[in-house]
Amino acid sequence: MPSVKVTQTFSPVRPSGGTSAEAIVSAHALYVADEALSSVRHEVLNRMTAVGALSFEIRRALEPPSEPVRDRLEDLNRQVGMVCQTVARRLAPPRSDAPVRCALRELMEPLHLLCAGPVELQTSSTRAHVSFEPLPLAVALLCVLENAVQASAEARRPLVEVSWQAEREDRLAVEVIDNGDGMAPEVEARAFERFFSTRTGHAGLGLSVARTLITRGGGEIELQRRPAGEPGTRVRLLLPSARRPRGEGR
Amino acid sequence: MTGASPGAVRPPRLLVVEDDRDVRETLLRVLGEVGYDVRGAADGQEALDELRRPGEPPPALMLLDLRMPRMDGRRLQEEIARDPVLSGAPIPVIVLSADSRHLDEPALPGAVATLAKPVRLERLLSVIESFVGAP
Repeated sequence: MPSVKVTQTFSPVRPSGGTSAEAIVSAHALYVADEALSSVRHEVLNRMTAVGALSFEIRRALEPPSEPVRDRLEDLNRQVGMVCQTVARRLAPPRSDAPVRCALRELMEPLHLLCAGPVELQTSSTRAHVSFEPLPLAVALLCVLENAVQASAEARRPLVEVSWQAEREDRLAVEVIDNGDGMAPEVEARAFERFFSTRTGHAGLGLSVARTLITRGGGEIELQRRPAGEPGTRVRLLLPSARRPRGEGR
Repeated sequence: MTGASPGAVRPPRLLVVEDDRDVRETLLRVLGEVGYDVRGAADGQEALDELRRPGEPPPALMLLDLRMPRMDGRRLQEEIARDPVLSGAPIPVIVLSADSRHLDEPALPGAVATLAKPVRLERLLSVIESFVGAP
């Protein structure tokens, strides 16, 4: 049987194609895959750090090492280097584009389609722009919205509200609030961990993907405890604001 | 390494903030053997607790992993910036990152260097020495 040589790097390619619902769904799958791969990269590189350190310690303990020992340690270091190179080449993360001026109201339109269902999704109607790559931002918002939609599903009148307002001169705060049962403190503390989920059958990568994409774009994301007596969870994103081009009205 | 003598200058204190136990313990062991006064924390919250411990001098340098559970490296830096005491005397930070993209990104506030994992100890020791001196 002829052998097949796989030369293609498994790297989620840079998603493109605007921010249609289809493009967002495709990009979502790629970024979720990259989040899982990122966990593998992190684990392998940590193990290789430990192996490299052991080699360093052995060399120091035997100083000066005999020639055969020195050769074996150099072999070991070379193998460590090859593993790291393979990880870097084959599991490379997607490259980022420069941020652009991105209208939040328009970005939410395909997300409304994707989150349509038994949950009412209310979105701020004010115009606001952020400086961000549109597709990663749409995927991050989708991840947060999916979580909110699932959380509010059991409410008597499931509701997810999305609003935004200027936070500081250079930041825009986007808030996603659901009316579910809210998170227990121990769940809240781990909500952004990879592979952490309280729901069976869920990979537990949604909020982790959102955090990766938001922080990579220069933003911040956090969970905020709701005031006593108010239901649900509030996820708050702080995004770089985009200046309004001269001559453009509100 | 020379033994401590009465009146000798204390070696620089380092804080290693790394969630991977093997990596953290290896760094603690090697940096301790080299002669640094080194402490460890498994995440940002443990690091904050260590930094806020009363009566302890602040570390001369912090080695910081970015991706950690509970409180990650970025959030730790934000908490330090918000703390009226800790923000008064910024601690230089060497970022340890498994993500090559971090090498090209704007430095974390307070970061004086970013080293890609797997961290080569010869390189790490040389960078530490360039900022805080030999133990």
